[in-house]
Amino acid sequence: MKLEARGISVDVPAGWDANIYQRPDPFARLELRRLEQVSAEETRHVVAHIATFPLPEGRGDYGGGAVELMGPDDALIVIFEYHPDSTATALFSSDQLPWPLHPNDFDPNQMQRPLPGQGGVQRFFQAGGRAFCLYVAIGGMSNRTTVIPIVNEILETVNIVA
Amino acid sequence: MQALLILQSAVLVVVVILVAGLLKSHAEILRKLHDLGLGETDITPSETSATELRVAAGIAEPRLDPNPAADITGMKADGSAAVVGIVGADHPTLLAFLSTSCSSCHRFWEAFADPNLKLPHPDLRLVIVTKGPEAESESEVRRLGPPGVATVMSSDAYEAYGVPVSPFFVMVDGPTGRTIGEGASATWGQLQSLLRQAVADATSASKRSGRPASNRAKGRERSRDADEVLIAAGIEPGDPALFGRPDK
Repeated sequence: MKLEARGISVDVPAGWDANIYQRPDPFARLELRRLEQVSAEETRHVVAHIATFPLPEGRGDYGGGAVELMGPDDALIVIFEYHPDSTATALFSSDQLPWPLHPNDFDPNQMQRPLPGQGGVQRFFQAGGRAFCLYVAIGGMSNRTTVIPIVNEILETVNIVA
Repeated sequence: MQALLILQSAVLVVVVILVAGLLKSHAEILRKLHDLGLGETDITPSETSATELRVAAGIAEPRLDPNPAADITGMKADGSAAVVGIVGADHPTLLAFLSTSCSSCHRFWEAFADPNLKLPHPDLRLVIVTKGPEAESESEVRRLGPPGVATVMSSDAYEAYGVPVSPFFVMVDGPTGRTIGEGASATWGQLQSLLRQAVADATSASKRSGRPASNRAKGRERSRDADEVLIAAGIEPGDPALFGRPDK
């Protein structure tokens, strides 16, 4: 089932949850805002969540409140947009989509909030003139060789346009 | 193994018949309520026949052959786009098709907003579905949408599930993708009694099939444990340390 909104589309497998939303960018260029060089709309970011499990309401952009619910076979994919100006920075310099992911890419220490058994990976990139972080969390490091190929299949369907 | 499958199928058929029978009696109750002016109809009188069951226009008629279950795509009241996974999920889902304008629905909006709401099974997921923004008030859905309950606006879902009236409820067993119960109810209390039986039967069938139970309950326990550790460390909900910039 294809989900498409705000320049991001993804094929969501049966039984998975997904949500593409937009909220004010907490890391917006406040100085530019103050000088009125950018509008409030320009300082909003898009976030996409795709998960093997029911996405709880009120979760954090990086999955806080959701990853805690993951079982060992679960995965959460987060595509988090930063301000377009970030594309000029070294962190977001790669214009290659950062997938497929490899099981060895995952590390318990890359979790936004480390939880026993879980692992995560973060990759920063730009696409369509937009700056993004891909963050993937898995519920069980011991299952990563079976879970990550499924994650990669979904990532292959992600399309980002300006 | 084949005998087990046949036995499981037979049990499921019996369960569906039992649930349909119960829903039929509840539909009768609803018919009387509707005669008092309660409920909202999407069916015109011309769509019903005098030879059909004695169910008033707009009251859901029990069906032994429900529409196939499907995942739901729609919009949330915050304007975001969402897919709710149902078929293939490792848990049952209760779909509550509600409207913001029908008086019967308001009892359910209120019941689902109760922070002490108890669903009849720990893995049962409640999802509220309204019609899409072309037929519903986004602001009303936002106002009535209970915190913590997934609420999706999707006219496509109404069509896919063949929803004749609001309120209407459909329960789907995720792993099999089968609709294990559907119908109308006047109150949450009535619906709960139906759900308990349906969930218990579905759970029993699941156990007989050897399907592993959801491991999500363990996730909830882990969440509680993590919260306890954080609180013990002096990090309360809302603590700035929980919201540090991810690129630092």
